[in-house]
Amino acid sequence: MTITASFYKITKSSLATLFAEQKQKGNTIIDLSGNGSDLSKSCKALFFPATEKVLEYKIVDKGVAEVKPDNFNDETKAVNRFIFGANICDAYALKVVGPVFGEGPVDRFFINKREATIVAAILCDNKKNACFCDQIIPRSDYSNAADLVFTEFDENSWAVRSNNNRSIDFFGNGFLHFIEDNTLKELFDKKEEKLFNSENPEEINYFPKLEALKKFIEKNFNSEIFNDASMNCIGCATCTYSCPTCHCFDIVDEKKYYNGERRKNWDSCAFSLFTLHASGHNPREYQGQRWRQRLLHKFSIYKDRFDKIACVGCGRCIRLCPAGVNMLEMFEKWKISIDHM
Amino acid sequence: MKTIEQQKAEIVHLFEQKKISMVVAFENYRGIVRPVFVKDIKDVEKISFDMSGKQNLATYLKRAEIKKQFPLAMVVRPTEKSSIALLIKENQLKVEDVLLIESMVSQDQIEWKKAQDIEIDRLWKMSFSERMDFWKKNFQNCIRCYACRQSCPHCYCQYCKADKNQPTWVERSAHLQGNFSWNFLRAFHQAGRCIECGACENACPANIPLMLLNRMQNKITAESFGESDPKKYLLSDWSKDDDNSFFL
Ligand code: SF4
Ligand code: SF4
Ligand code: SF4
Ligand code: SF4
Repeated sequence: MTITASFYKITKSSLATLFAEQKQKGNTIIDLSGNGSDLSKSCKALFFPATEKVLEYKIVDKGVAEVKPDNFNDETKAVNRFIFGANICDAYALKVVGPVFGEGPVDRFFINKREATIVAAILCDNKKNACFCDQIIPRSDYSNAADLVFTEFDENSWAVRSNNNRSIDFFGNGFLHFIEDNTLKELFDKKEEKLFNSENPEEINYFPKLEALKKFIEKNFNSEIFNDASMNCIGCATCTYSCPTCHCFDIVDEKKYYNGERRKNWDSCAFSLFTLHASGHNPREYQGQRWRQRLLHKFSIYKDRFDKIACVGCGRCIRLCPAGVNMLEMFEKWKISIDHM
Repeated sequence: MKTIEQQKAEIVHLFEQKKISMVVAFENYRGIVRPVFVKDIKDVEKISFDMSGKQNLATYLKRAEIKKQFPLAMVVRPTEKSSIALLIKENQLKVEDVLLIESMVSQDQIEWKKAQDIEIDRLWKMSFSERMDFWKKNFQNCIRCYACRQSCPHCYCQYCKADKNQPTWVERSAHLQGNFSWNFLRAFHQAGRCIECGACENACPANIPLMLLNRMQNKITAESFGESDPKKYLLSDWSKDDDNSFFL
């Protein structure tokens, strides 16, 4: 693979000026670099919101409804946005879920937003508690994860890696604020190296080979291990809703007398309702079966279907779980069997 | 007072006599105090009597997997005891289903409740529209993960009203209207029942101050209907002498 990235420097004050100019032009700047909560810092919701209107309808006569829009492509046109300060893992997650929304029937709601948005990530200085991105994201994809990758050069300026021409198209003349300096590649390599080799605060003693993990989960489909490992799980959706790669949604109609709207809402395999049949039968009766689904989807089904792992190692499901359920701990518990696969 | 060692020995004894098949308690896993389910004598040592866990263990009693293990034992604080008492009162649990092992480690709720009292005072003094704005600001962050419901022992309905869509009682969408409907529905169903354990607020990933709502409501309920009676159940108890003036 030829490296097409180019490197730039920009002072923090120039960046602020650039943002101000962009806002004046009517573009949206979303700054995630401040102190948001763990949940709000995932940029998934900016492309796939918790709830989104798909269409609205009005009953105008007996059996006749007016539906808007009749053309999704026009109606879902997204505003131009620049997202600054995403995590590398979250930016990479957008690539992971891309094919779900973009292959086959195209989900215009996601794809149009992605096409109108530049994602600028900031390299992490340290791994947070429970982070394991380095175990999953291929090193070669790391600094390639976002359109732009920022890392602090010094107190007053950023070093920037640009992975494509999208930012030039987006900023136009404004891109002149970025001063090309290809010697900065070294700085990025060094910082990445440091991050990859840094100790993990959660003391992740073990992470399985992804191939072996896949086989292990498939082989144990009918075993008790998932029930045992997820006893704590209270069946909320915190892990899935905070996960940058979880992408299940539900379509609901909300009506008010003669009009209403159809919405696309987040849904979660952690809910018992997720697989409840109209007959009352539930093929995933226990929480363990729901957890099995979560692992299967992330490490097996998604791999078969899209040749990607639907987890980027952001650690949110572990950090935010109210009941202390921990995927890494499960793997560690299953270590011997996984390594035998 | 029993020592922790004595209590552990008692648990081992219960297993040996086959009186229980499981103990629900807290453990300390790498500094995180979280629920643990002990099915075996060899795992009894995992139990930590440090009861600073942010969840209410009684919430597991509504789970089908756990019900299969009745009778079981639970290491409890006053929090769990109150919830279990309520579940028995509401016919969700039989006295013999759960054997209580009382933790001797006292836990201090006073501090966080004090901070909340100040906040509750502030909310009372607000005008209606200011208070509305306060809740709007908070509820708009709700993502409808239902961690609040799932972590509450008293939210035990098999089909929550929020899960029904034929007809829709509560909009499933995480827009402001839906979030107001959901959060009020949850709060109303806790009127006079909430034992103020804090589990829901601790579970909420959107950091919504749910305890302010729960506690304000408990206060109104107590003022209107008196403190809760251990024998009566506020949501379904009635008498023909009750105030009926608001019926049309
Ligand atoms: S693993 Fe944790 S966050 Fe996920 S559903 Fe279970 S309790 Fe909720
Ligand atoms: S499964 Fe957990 S660690 Fe993996 S991407 Fe989702 S939230 Fe992050
Ligand atoms: S504080 Fe009240 S509503 Fe919240 S989990 Fe505890 S009992 Fe339930
Ligand atoms: S836990 Fe918080 S975010 Fe989740 S449904 Fe309850 S109030 Fe909303």
